[in-house]
Amino acid sequence: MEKVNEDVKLDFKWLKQRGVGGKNKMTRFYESFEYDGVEYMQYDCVYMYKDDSHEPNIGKLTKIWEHPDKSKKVKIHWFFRPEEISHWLRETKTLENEVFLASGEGRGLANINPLEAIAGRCNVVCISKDVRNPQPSDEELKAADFVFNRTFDVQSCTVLDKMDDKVGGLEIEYIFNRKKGDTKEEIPNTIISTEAQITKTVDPQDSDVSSSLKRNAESDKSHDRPLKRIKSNDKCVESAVALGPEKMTELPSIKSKVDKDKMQVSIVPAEKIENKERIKTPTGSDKLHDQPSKRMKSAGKKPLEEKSVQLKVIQPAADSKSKQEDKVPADVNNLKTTAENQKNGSFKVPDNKKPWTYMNEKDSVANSASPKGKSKSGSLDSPGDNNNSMAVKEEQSGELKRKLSVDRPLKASALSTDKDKYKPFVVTPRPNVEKSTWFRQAPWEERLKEAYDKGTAILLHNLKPDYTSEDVQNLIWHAFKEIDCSVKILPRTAISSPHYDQALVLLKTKEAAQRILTELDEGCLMLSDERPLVGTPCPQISTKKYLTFFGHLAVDKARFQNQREDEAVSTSHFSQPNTIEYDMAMEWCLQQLKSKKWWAKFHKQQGFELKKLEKELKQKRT
Amino acid sequence: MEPSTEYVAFEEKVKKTIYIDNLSPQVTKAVLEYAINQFGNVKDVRFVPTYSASCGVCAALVEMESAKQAEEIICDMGDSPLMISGMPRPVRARKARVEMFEDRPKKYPRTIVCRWMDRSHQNFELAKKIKDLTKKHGAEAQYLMELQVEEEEKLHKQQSETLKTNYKKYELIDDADGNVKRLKAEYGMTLNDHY
Repeated sequence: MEKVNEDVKLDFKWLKQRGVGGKNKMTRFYESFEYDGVEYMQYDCVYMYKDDSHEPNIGKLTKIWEHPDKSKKVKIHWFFRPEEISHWLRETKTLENEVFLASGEGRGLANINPLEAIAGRCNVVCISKDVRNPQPSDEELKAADFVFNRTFDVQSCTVLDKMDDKVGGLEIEYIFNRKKGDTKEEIPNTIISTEAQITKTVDPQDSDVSSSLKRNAESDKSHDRPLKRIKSNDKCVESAVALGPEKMTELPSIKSKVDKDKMQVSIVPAEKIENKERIKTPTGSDKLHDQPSKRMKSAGKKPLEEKSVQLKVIQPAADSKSKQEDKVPADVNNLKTTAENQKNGSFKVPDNKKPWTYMNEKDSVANSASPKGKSKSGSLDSPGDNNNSMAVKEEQSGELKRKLSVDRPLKASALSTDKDKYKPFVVTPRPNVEKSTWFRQAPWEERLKEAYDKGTAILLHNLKPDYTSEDVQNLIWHAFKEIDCSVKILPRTAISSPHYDQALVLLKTKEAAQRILTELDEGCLMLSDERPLVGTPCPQISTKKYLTFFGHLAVDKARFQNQREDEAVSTSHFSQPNTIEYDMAMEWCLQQLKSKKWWAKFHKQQGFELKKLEKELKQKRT
Repeated sequence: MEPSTEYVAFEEKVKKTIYIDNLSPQVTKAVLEYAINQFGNVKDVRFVPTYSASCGVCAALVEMESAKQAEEIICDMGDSPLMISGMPRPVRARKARVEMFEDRPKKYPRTIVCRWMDRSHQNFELAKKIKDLTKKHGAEAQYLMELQVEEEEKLHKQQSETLKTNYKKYELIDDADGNVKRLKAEYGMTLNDHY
């Protein structure tokens, strides 16, 4: 520890001592201390640094002491983030900043760490409705970094609501919010970045995390979970969390320190040294919002080559030790950074894809028009539902607002014919289109292909999610006086935007299509909730067979390019572990998870941008 | 306002449906039905149409007999990889949602009111901004999709390389076996056959 203090000159001061204990009564227990200018008290919540991860862990300081050799230790009772226990949460809804207190006994409940591993104070407010818990005020809730009201039992791996008198050995009064008068003023969190430390973090659900994260273990290692854990045990001892190359020299000394501690500390039986994997993409979301807009301006840079540096402070871990570690954490980090890069890259649409000049040739336009949302919308169920119910409410309130403002356009100008155009109109069912029987004959796909070739197909965006195809048809009739049109709302897929829907419209003539596009572009057709309808030419259509699909391999060299149509029996099976196939499947699962995450983040970002503008619009209306 | 009965029935159906993607384009309805029938009773299989060329994956909506079955299957598929009509890319399953269906009924009877915005209206510029943003988002999504397909292609190439070399290794071993036997015959030796 002496070496550590030499390099890192962070101020430290013991404040209030609690007592003595341990061997020879030489170990001192403390109630509070000051570290790097921040005062910490027993039972405060802190951020604990974790090596080369972007998110620090959150824990509660339950014990603080100093050994006779001057090494300082803290016992941390952990909080779990929803992502860490997503496998057992399944469909349980969690708040955005909700965490779960560890309960029960065993691995994952608490750990002893060196005091220097503390990265900062954390404001965790207990929102349990238990009568023993002082309820937080609204300001406290807003100021809180995290909230919790449930626990996660590390033995049974279940989420519990009720809290007994003791949670994981911790008295309940130290879990609930402190009674007013006990707490001192809140010190804003400081995340300290320039420290060298070992964090003995715990991976309580190592075995299950691996399945939920679909770890990609090296192919020659067995897939036995205990084996993996032991291996990572070894590696973690070697891998000190050095945040700068100059800290590498401390490795041997710290390692020996660790051993010594093991002998000395007899309080906590279980000391697991493992890397906790996280697959979560970083939540530096504020910064993420700013970055892409800046990047949009700088064109022409290759997105994947950029290293994302917007996370809170943590520098990348030194390379030499990462080779020693499990391949997994490195992979996870790579995937995080590439996921980030993907996200960042995605906001930089290359220059040749300018979407809003539809006067040019079809090809460039076709390239840039929006994709067919084929996959599902964002991964969480709740935001989608919220959107829907919100959308309905907005529609209703939008209608009310419009009734009030209907007078405005009329009053503004004296001209009659033009102004009629700006009156709101109700979309009623259009007159019957019995006569065009030819419409009904060909199946939709063929008609679509035909229409695309002839240039009579357009794609509408920004439709409200609960519009049906007939609604859109009626709308087109009212707005553009086109009767002969056929509409299909595109179903949402895993990758389509959850904020609005799209629809394909097939018109009879090319001129009609052009006219509609022009009108939509030059004017603003506002839908029920102040959304302007957007129209773009239909993007390129392709039939199913020619879609390129990656991921299916054939062992037979002769047919390497996934031609399996001539197989008599269709095969479907669960892949078994301990096979090459399983390893590869894991790689794909990783890829899929990556893609899921980045789409979710992408849509979130887009939603944010949209809402900002829409809010502005609504405000200006009133 | 009460949602229409039609919608309620529709919602029930949605609860029983699984959305499966990462399917190979060659998977047919029969194949998929057979595959999922191992885990439960499949009532209906419908493919989600994909029109755009850039979209890489195919997906289908599989309606099961009960919502519980659907949930169980989703959990199982989340735990271990299921491969349909080819390996090693596994399919992915999640709960279906209302918007995934093409032909959904109206939730509440309602009327849509729209209007053209007055050009001189103060909000015209803002509305235009929203339109432009929407278009931009579309282009971005397209680009992201392309990046994703690129990543998939990379992984695919990498895996096929690995597989090729593995296959070569096995071939070598097999060949060696043959050679050993020939040599044995040639020299008239006996060998303990461990294999």
